[in-house]
Amino acid sequence: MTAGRVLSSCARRLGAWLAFTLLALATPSSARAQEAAGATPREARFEWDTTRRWLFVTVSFRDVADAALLRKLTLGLPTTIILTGLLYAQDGEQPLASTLQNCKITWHVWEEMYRVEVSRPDQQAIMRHWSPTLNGVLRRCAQTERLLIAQQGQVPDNKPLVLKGKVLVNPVSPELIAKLQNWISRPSNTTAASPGSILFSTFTGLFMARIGEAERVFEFSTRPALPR
Amino acid sequence: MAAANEVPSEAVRYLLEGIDIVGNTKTRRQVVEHYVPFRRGDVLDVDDPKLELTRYRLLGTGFFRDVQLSLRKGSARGRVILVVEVTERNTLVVTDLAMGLSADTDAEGRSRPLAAFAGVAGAERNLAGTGITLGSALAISQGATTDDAIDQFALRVRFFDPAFLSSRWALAGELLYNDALDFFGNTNVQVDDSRPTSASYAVVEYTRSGGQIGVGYPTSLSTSFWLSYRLETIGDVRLPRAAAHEYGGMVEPIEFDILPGRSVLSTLRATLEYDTRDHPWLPTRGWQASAALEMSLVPAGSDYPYERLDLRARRWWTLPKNHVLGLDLFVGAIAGQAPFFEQYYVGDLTDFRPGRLLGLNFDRRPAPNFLGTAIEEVRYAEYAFKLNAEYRVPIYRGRRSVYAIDFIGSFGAFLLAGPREVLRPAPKYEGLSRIPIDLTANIGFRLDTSLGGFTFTFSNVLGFLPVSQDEGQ
Repeated sequence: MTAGRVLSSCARRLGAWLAFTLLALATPSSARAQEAAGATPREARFEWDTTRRWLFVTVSFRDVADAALLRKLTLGLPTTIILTGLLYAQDGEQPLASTLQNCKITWHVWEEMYRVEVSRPDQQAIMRHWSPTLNGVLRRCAQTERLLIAQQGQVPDNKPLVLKGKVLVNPVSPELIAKLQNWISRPSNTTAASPGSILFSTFTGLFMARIGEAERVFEFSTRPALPR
Repeated sequence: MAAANEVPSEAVRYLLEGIDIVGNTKTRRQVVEHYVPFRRGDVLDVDDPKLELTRYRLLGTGFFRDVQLSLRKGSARGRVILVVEVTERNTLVVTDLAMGLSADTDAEGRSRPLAAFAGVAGAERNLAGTGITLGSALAISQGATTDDAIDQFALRVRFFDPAFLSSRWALAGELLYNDALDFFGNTNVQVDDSRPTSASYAVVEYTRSGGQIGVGYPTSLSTSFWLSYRLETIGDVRLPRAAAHEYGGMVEPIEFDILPGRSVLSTLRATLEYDTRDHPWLPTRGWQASAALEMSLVPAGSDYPYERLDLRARRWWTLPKNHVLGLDLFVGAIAGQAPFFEQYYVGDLTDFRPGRLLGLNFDRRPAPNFLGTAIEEVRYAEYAFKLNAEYRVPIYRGRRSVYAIDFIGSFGAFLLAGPREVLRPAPKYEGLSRIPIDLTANIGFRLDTSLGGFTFTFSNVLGFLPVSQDEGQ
């Protein structure tokens, strides 16, 4: 075989590998970490309190509760659903204000009831409730009812507002990730018999769990609406 | 309708009556239990962070696609059974792929393809559900431009038990076989060989067969200690009757650093490892350092009396925009008479030449010699030093088949020398050019995928281009 033919053969193989790689990369939608549920904006209601000092938002994101989440809620161990919301003026690029709702649900195995703990910026303490049904859980944790989002002065008058929400199911803390990374077994060079061997270099790192910021991330946005 | 009464805070605790593991059709129950830090009779607090950690720890083994923990009622009020539900995944994987072209240099110093080589490694990471990794690797090369028999073959079979007999000790072992050859001589090589050859270099043929076994112990979360014993026989060694070459302006005989006929290599190796990386393939911060001392056991029959010390330290920093800077320092020294395949090889230090695969060397070229030093005379030697900096730019992040793609650019310098270069430097070189040092660099992409880590780099291709204008003319 001539050198030219060998080079040509290797170039074809390299081309095939690159094509494979590009094909793999051409399907980014299958590799998305987050679900962009906000393709169709949803309805939200913005309301001032009677003194027009505080602005509240009411919005539902019950579609976060897919079959996997509904099953998870019945497992007897805590599930946390966190909503973070950023308020924008229509066509605005900078957020005007932000809000947060933290909800922890625990199915009590013997009481056969859900314990729901909710914290919101307009509450001084965590509110704890018992609910016998999943519907009751979702009413508290997968929608907001008059959630404080802004105060007077943060929101321009007579401008439609948009809420961009991000829902995290069981968020993973950086401390937890650090502990996990210490636990996961690490590759060792000590089993290499040949000093120059480069095979097996990724031997033990292959299946390290790919841990994102949460078990599930769900994003949405609302239609522009004027506060009432 | 839900009751909406405010209730006082109280922990939800149960008495753990048992642990039920379901979904493990292949993985043994004991393997799963090894990662569950709860026992029957424990008081279980549902808010205990160890519950969440257990789930991720089981996912981190790589044996399962999904893990769910749940509680169900026990035999009496207040008692529960912890249910660990696992969904197993395919654990038979390709762990490494490599292929390329090696090269020779003609009388004018121009590169010409010498051989095509390829390597593949696969592993079953959960052998028969025991959590043991069993893998094998194969590397071959075939001559490209010459009729001479320069084909090579290497095979490895390896196993790794991270929890030997359910203890904290790890056990690793390997069987090896190499049917190999190597190329000797720099320029104006004169060979007296009984084998017919048209090549302008001396060839040593040999086989290696044997294995090693090692035990490891994690002395802390980030450090571990390994002790390994290796026994190999080196056989079918075929050397030229005599060979000489021009070394830095002087003609001198070629030292092959291998015993003719059959010989034995027996070593003991102790390694201390320190590892605080946040990721094994694309680290963004932390340290990885190791110190390894290998001693040939002459009293146990080893025919090669030598000691080898390898020190390596790597550090990564996260920069703005999630760029990553990494520094890699390697220092190695060998005292005694190590066989040439145990010595430091120039292709393992420069990115412009193919490194060895499973101990096989495919390339005959010297280092590119960007600085015009005596490095062009050195291919194997006893002292090595390398300092390399790598800059990584993340260009893609995902969570399914392709987890990450980074652009990488690296630059470094290395030194490779032996007693010959230290005590009797070649007369052709003067001053600082006597120091056999060279530069190395690389650019490419590093991928972290569900199939494993892959690196596509271009320096080996660039290595086929002449360094100086004279070389290619």
